[in-house]
Amino acid sequence: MTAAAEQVLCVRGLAKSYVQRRALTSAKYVVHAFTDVNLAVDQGDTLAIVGESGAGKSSLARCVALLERPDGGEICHGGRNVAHLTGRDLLPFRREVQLMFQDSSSALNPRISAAELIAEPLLVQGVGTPARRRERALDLMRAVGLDPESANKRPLEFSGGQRQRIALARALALEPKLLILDEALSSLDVAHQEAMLGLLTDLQAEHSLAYIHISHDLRLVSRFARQVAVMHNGKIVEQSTAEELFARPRHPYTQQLLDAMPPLEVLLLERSA
Amino acid sequence: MRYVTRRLFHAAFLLVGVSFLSFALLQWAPGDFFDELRLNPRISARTIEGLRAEYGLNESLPVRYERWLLSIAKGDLGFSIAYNSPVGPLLIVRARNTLVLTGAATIIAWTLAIPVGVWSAVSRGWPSRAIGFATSTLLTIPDLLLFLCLLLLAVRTGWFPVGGMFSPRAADTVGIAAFWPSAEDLAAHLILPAAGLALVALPVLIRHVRSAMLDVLGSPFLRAARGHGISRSRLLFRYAFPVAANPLISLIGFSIATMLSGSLVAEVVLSWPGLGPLLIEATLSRDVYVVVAIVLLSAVFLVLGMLVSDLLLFAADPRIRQE
Amino acid sequence: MSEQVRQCAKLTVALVLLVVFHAVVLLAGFFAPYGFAQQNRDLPFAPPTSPHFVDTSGEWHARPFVYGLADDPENPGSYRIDATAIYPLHFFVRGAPYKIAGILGARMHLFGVDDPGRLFLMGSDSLGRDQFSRFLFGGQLSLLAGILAAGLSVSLGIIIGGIAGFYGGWLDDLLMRGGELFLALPWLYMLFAIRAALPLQVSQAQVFLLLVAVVGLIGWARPARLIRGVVLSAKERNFVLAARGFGASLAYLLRRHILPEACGVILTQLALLVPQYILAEVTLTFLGLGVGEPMASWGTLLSTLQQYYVLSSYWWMFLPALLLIPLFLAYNAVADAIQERLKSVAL
Repeated sequence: MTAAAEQVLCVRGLAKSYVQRRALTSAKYVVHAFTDVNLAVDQGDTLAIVGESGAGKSSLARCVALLERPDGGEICHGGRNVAHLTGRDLLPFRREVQLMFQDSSSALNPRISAAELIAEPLLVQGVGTPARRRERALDLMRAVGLDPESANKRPLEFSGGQRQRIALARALALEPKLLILDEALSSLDVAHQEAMLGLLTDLQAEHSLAYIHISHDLRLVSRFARQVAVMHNGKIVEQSTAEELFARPRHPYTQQLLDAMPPLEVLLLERSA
Repeated sequence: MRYVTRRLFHAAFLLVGVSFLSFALLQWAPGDFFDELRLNPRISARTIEGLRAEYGLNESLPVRYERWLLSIAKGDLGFSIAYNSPVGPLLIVRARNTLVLTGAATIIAWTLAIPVGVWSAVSRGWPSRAIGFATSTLLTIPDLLLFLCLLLLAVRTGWFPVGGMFSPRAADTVGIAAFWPSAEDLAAHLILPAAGLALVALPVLIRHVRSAMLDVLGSPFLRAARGHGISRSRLLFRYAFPVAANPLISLIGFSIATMLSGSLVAEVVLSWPGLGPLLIEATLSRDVYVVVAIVLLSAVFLVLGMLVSDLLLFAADPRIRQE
Repeated sequence: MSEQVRQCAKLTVALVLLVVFHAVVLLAGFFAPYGFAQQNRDLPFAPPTSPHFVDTSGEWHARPFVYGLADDPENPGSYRIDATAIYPLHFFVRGAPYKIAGILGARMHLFGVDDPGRLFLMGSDSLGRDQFSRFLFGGQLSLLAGILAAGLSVSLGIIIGGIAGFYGGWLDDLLMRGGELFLALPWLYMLFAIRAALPLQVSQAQVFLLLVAVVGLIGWARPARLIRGVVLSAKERNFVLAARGFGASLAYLLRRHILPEACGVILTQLALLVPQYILAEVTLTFLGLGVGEPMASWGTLLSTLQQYYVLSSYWWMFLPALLLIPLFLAYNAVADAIQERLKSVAL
């Protein structure tokens, strides 16, 4: 990685909690999704956040993408804290940071055609004319490996893997600098995961895209992540480069995760392949 | 116990809301009972004003509302200008009659709906389809038409007495418990309106029973029980039905609501001396306090009905008791 | 025939029936042989006259005709057919003037017979007025009342349900509690109370509009609750969240993603409420609290049935009520079809 890489996003002391109220009594209790999270992502970098399945990681993803408002901490983008901005002030941030969901079928409105879905970010941000937007949508479809002929089909007419590609194309429409993938590959089978990983790597090389990859699958993460952060009970318990983490894990929870994986030699073999 | 007190407060809130709404509505309306008199050139404006003052019709809204609330406490419920008497006593007999009708109709409707609905859910093939067809047809027949047909039936065949609650020669029926001696006479007069009202409500009830049963019949716990070799009838009555009864108990409250609305038409068409005909008369003559009292009373019946079904649910469903 | 084809056929039949029915009522003046107030004092309570092709001497006529009616000396008050008086049916005749949609004047009727013959397809009433014509003209009032009131209820439901579902919190609680209040009221009683609040001496047009407004305003609670549910769940959907991720505004979200979800519910509610409100108008007028003479709605036509002698002797006075059944069946079929489609599209 070049030392001169520009920082795309950094997160300092981010925290979020939810207040649950039981339906018929008036007792409230507070659930801390995550506290004191610090992250930094450079251009072209890949940061993976791993941990067991639970609300903490997705919640973090949404807060970083500002789809939910964090309760504390800062998100610095373009040199300023954007955590409390709203409306039109957030548009530049929205252009540069995009989120991909785990379940593509719920993230795509089933009544709208693929091309329209992909062009939607452009429409919302008022970019170009309808003809230009459609052209761009078709370009994006080609870039993610979808046949432009199926531009008018509805999402349900595609397979799961193809739907994730549509979601990816849509996320790329505004030419973002950072893509947050919230378990985006978890619902795909191994073959599709491979294909998507290849695609993501190519795109990263081509456009200097940064990724924050959230996953519970350490094996997947070991394939491409450069930085890895381990999340446990809402806190980041360990964060370092991938090699460091796999070779010399310091936190007992990290050790637990590693123990559940296939042996290191196999992993290192895969990496070098 | 918290559940019960909460439901009671809820009911009280509804009643206060309804009473205020209907009262305010009628008082804000332009014109009143004496409008008809104003058209008569022989009655001077002074006389009319005097009459209005006597009945307190020219006071402000809060004053009248307060007076009205006090009169509820006394049991008067305001004053009927047309009948020249407090509204309370006027209503008691009528309310009793409406309750008798609605009660009988509810019993008939549920007694039919449960077996038919269960049978329709349990059986496959033609019974289920036939029942479905019959309920759909019944549902689209306007209740007005149904009552008119029943009236026609009574007039043409003479099997049923036409209108009224008792035969003219029966004893004076002023007291609340006065109708025991002439129970047979009452039943003869009751059957047509009650049956009609029950028929109007029946399709919806059958559908609900059927869907509740279908839900239960498809559930895993029932399949497991069947796997244990429990007999079919025992399955149906000891396992399936108690669970299906849950949503149905909540339905009782709502079915009373629709029954009450429908009873108005039934009473008018079949000349049953209940609240319905009185309401129409009072509406046409702008006898304000009678109208408000009847609306309030019907709301009371409704809210009480829903309260009863809530309490029944509380008694029947252990999950609600647990909270 | 497969289930799906059968459903499709049922829906098509229902829609065709509705369209035809409404078109005929809209052009009531054209399809009705007489004006709705046209009296024939010498022919009160005449039974329906049917067109014939073959007369008593066995001769076949190319043009259908009706017989004349004369008083029956043996049954005073009844009629017997006078076979000597033959009145051929003419098509596209000039008759009583009428207005299309209240604006365009016209005099052309689809069919009619020459005077003094009378074509009473549904019999006549106490003043000798043709029930068929009155049915068509009355339909204009009743159908319009039902449709307008349903539109009002559903519109209110969209606004209130949309606000409650989208903003949630205390506003949602307040609005739904208010809705409960309305649902808790016995609606027919409330209708009377409100009607009682209105002065009795208002113009017919005002009575009609007030009737529509009152019926429509009471019924907002159920549509509102249903729409609120849809908005609530749609709001949480990932594709709405994704759109927010591109910076979509509230208006865009509502327009593009949330309200289309509610489309099915809205249409179903409309299809269910229209017949209910038509019945409400008919009931109110039947009981004497709707539009009055000389305007006639279906309720007015049915109100004569409250008299025993009409009820038991003149069966044709029932016909307006019977004709309501296929109309309501058609509306319910459309509502069912929409619900079926909703269930199959839902993921």
